[in-house]
Formats: sequence, structure tokens, C-alpha cells
Amino acid sequence: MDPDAVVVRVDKDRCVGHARCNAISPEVYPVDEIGFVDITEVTVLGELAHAARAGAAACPEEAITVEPLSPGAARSNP
Amino acid sequence: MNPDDSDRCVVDFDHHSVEYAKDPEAVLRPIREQCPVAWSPNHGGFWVVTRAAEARQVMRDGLVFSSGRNSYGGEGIGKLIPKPPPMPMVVKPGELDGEEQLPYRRLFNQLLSPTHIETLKPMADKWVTHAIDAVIEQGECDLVDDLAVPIPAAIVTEWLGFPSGAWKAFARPIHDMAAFPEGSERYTQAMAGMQDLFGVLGEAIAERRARPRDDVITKLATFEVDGVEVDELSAIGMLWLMLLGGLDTTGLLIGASLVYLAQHPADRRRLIDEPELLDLATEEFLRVFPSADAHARTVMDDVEVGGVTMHRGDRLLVAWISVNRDEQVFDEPDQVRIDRFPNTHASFGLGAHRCLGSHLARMTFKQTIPQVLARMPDYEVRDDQLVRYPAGALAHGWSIAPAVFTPGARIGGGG
Repeated sequence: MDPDAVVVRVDKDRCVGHARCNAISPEVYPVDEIGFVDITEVTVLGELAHAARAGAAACPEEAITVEPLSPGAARSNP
Repeated sequence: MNPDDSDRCVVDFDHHSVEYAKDPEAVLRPIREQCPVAWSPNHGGFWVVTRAAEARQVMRDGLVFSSGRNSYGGEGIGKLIPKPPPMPMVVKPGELDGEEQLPYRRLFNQLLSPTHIETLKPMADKWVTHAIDAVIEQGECDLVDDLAVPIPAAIVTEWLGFPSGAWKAFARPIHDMAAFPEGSERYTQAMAGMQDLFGVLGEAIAERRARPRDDVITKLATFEVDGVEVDELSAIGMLWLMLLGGLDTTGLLIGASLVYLAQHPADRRRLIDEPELLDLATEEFLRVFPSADAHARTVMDDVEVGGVTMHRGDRLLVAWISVNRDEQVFDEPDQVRIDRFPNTHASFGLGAHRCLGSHLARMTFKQTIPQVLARMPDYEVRDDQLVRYPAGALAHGWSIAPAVFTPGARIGGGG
């Protein structure tokens, strides 16, 4: 199991388009044409896990959670 | 209706007081420490929210905490206490709640998206160069009148689609309306200037409806909601919102930050030597110098916030400037740390009414500061010559900030 594997979840109801997450990591947090985050749930590996955590910490609306990928999930996700 | 909870935290808080104008953080700190939600009997009575958790709760629910027109706490614009006189129209989406605001939010978010703002950098840079060129050879300027006011005004005005130079007619009344209290001569003149300004905006809207162009004014003038073109007055209101939101606000951030950097040469040196700090420094300046230091809502239903029960008809003020010092969110909140991270300040608001111009504001600031530091790195401000916005003004910051510096050369094409 990759030690730096995380699941990023965005509460779309809370996102209002500050785009702070996107400013830190456009790779993890792409935004749509109105500047709102374009993902709901993604698994992120390796170096990007750090960027994912930083992006989540930057959200003023507390709309993003980043949790370690569980071993069970890692086995079931190809 | 006055709250009657006997255990409410009552404070003699007045954001229009001279004491507040001099040092708002010092006034709010003891309130924040004693009670996350306090009650002030001033201005007809209102709740004061001082911390991030409660601010998020309030700003997430636009139906319970309304920005719209009603008679509670007087007539007028609900987002301020006391309510200023209303514009001739309901300003959309600023004065709308819930579903009604969504089409307008979508339109403006498209026009001001992060991606689109990136494409405006060369235009912004042109105006920064122009503003500095106008003073660089003299070795002296007013950081407010020569840089902080003209740069955002020119950028927003050109983005909208007005002719070059039109910003001068907008900047003065909008600046003075914010910088001087109701009843003062400058404010009175600004309100008169506002009549002319609305005339100009009305003409622009009418012109674009008759002869559409490829510009933002046209997009506002011909905007459709549910297949129906918005009425002319609403379109003027939307145009007005862009000017109100974009000019003095960004100017205050630029002015406050430039004065700060002159007063803190170590930080200025660091920003020059480590330009990669600009993004973090921008957020820190936003945190400690919020242009809109507080916004109000009307409570439309009984609700509990921070342990107090609020009732329909209550008025409520969220003090962003205090939220930004919440030690539950910010480590050593009274320290200005230009490399602070995370920095989840609330200076662009929270929730559905998040400032639509936030990406443009950041870009404008980030185009301005490096060029000032590059071309005028030794600028000095005389503390005894600084003049603040007066008490009772719509915002707080510097209205006059004379600076001297080693003269340099113009770099732009002039004109």
C-alpha cells in the first residue's frame, strides 16, 4: 500500500468558489468555468497527497476532507 | 423585537465610534474573548458575531440570515448597520437570498472566474505601469491617490468595457462615498456625483441593449433570467455592484499593504528577496486588512447561534475583522506573518455571497505590489502625514498616505 495515498472529498454544498484549493494545487483541485471545484471524490497518490492536504487546509468553508486510503480500499481499487 | 435572554452578553459596541475607527481589533478583542456572540444596544440593537465558527453558520444560511430588503432595523441596504439609503433598485445578487441569487452568481462567477482573470494580467500590468510612470520621476506621490485608487479603478473600468479614462469619473465619488461619513461635505458631493454616475451607467446599459458589443456591460445589459431579459434598472444595479465592489475595496488593500511594508522594512526586504512569498503575503495582508470589516444580516427565523437564541427581526453583524483574529483558527492571530499558512481568512466573506471579485482583487494586488517594490523599493511614508478614513465611514483604511522615494525612469509608452 502506498503510504501517501489519500481520499479527497469535497462537500459541493459548501463550495462557493474561493478557489484557494485550486490556487495551491490545480492538479488535485481543478475548477470549472465558474471557478468552483470540479471534483467530488478522488484518490490521490504520492507527492500529490501533500498538495491535497494543503489545498484542504486552505478552504475557508471547511468543504474538503482528506483521509488516508484504507488498506481494504487500496486492495479493491485497481 | 429586542432579545430578552437575561444571560446575553451585552456590550457597548459601536463600529461607527471614533475608538473603533482608530483600532477596531482592540475594540473587538475583549468582546471576542468574552462572548462569541454579543448584543449591542446601539443603532437599534444588533447581535455581534466575532468568531469563525458562528460566522460560517450565519453565512451558510441565506434564508434564515437574509441580505434582502425588509423593514427590520429601518429601511435600506440590509448588509450594513445602520442601513444606508437604498439604491434606486434592488442590487442583484447582493440583496438577494437563496435560489433567486443563483443565476446572477453564475453570470458573475463566469465573468470573473480564475481562468478568465489570468487573461487580464497584461491589461492590469499596463495600468500599474501607467500609474507608477505618472509619479516615478518626481520622487514623491500619494500612495492612495496615485496608486491605490487609480489602479483598481482603471482595471475594473476597462474590464467592464468603458472607454479609457472613464475610470476618473467613477473613482472619486465611489471613493469619497466610502471614505467620508454621511453628512460631511465630501460625502454630500459624492452623493451628487453618484447621480451623474448612475446617468452614465444608465446610458451605457441602454446603448448596449440597442447596439450590443463584445463586452461585459453588454453581458449585463442583455442578461436573461428564465429566458426573460432583466429590466434596465436591474442591469444598472448589476453594473453598479461591479464598481462598488471592485474599486475602493482593492484600493484599501493596496494602500494598507504599501503603508505596512514601508513601516516594516524587514518584511519589505523579505518580499523583495523572496518573491515566491507573494501568494502567502497576499493572503496575510487580506487577513489583517479586510476592506469590508463587517457585514450585516437580518434574522428571519428563530435560531440558535453560539449559544444565544436569535429571533425573527433581529439584526446581526458579522465582524470579519474579528473572525480573522480567531485564535481557534489562526496561530498567534495578532502577528503579521507574510509566510502564514494555512490562512483561511474571511476577508472575501463566507458562504453564498462570497466576493465575486475575489480573483480579480488578488490578481490586481499581485500585479501592483511587485512592480512598486521593484521600481520604488526605498519608498518612505511619514507616519505623521497619514490620514485615516474617518469614523462612521463604510470601511476603514488610509485616505492620505504621502510617500517619498528615489526617482526612477518611466518604462511605459505613455498616454
